[in-house]
Amino acid sequence: MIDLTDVHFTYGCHPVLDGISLHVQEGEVVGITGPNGAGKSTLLYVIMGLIKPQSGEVKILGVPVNKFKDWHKIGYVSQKAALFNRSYPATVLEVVISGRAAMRGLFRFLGREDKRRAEEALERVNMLSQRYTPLSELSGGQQQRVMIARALAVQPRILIMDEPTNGVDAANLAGLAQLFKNLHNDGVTMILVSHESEWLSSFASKRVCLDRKICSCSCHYYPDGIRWRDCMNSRQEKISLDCVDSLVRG
Amino acid sequence: MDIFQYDFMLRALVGGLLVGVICPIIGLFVTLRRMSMIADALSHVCLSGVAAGLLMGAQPVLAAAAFALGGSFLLEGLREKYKNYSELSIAIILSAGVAVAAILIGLGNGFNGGIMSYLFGSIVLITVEDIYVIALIGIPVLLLTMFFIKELFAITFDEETALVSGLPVKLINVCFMALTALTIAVSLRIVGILLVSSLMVLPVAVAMQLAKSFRGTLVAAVATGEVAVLVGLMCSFYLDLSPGGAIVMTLVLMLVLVFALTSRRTATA
Repeated sequence: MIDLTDVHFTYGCHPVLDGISLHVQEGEVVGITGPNGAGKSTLLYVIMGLIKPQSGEVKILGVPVNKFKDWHKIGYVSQKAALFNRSYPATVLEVVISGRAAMRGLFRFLGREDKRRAEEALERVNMLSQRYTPLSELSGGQQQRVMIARALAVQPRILIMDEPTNGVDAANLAGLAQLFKNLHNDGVTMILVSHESEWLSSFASKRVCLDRKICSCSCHYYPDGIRWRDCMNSRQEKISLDCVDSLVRG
Repeated sequence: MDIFQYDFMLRALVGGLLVGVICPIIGLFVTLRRMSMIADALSHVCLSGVAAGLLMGAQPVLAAAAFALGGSFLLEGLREKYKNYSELSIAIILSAGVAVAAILIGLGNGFNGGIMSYLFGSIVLITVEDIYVIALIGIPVLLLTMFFIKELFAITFDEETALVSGLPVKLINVCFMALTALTIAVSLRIVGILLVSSLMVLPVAVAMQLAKSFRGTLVAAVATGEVAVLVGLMCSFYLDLSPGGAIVMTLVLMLVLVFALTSRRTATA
């Protein structure tokens, strides 16, 4: 479904993705975790074609990402949407149905079919009974479910989520994990980025630990047993030295 | 009512009711995108357009529309340059608009005070030609906005996801800026350059207190805009007030009334 081969991406002189190769099969749930600044969100942006890697190959459903046109087959839940729109004047149904805007096409209005699909998506996240509730009256966990429903409204083949636990309290994390288990059972391929490595491990079929490189599939420790924080400190020093070196050399 | 016996008043009502629909619709998206100051920046660019029109003997509203369009494209370009400080682009365009206007007004020796009717609006001076220009620009702006409404909603709510979903975000952003610029240009004859942004933002502020859904907010904002234009023009006619000032003060009073009602409702609950 998604193939990344030897992907390199650098912000200025800071290498963010350093030779990433990742292959996601149909029906897999890939949980990506890692420390802050490890390149988790950048990896998602590269997969979705929002940023172009300096080298390497990215394919979605067998098509190079720069030639990929069927974006309605990809559902995306950004980490910003729920956080920045807490008081947006819209009902749950209005937000979810808006996920189908691109699929419907320019100069065409959303119709009954779109409403039905949006309601089906809300049913899947157990929010159908609140479809006419204003978004501002929902809790953080409920708002995140609405964002997931919006992504599901296009019936995507791949669901990509960036920090879906943002704004979700500990009590609602289990409910969110159960929702992803259900989606997994329905055959939805998912890629999730999250800091909550233990939470991810409760439902992900493949776990990837990222820190510029794919370090491990064991999410708690690096292969050599160093904790993230220690590894990250040594990495920061190395990056600084690399930067100085490259600047001196011009 | 004797108010309808006067041709100038009928012209003011036709123009006013049209901008009373367009301004709150565009204003809703402007507000939700946290870009309220953009309307102010573009209205000041319109001032330089009006001055250029008066100086060169061109139709001032058309000249204002052309300047506002140019300003909107520059603004969008600057927003790209200053991604993390987008308010800087607003300040640059606003300053440039006022500076060009000051020079042109100076060159025209103040246009014998004629520029004042564009600053605060004037119902007496609205010509048939003005109404044609308002309709010619305003109706397509209204139709295009309605056609783009689902895209505008999606982009306003979450631009990043809209981009991933395949919406032509850049194109729609440029079109939206152009629609905003044209809306300001057609509204300045009724409410004036200095108050046009109020007709875009205040009805939305009222509507957001009343409605809970997006559709409800849109309808409430348009209804508020229309009521304010009608009441404001009546006050302007009977009390000999500036129409822009009367319309905006009506909106301010409506907002105070809505605040009072909603706080009372909250206290009762």
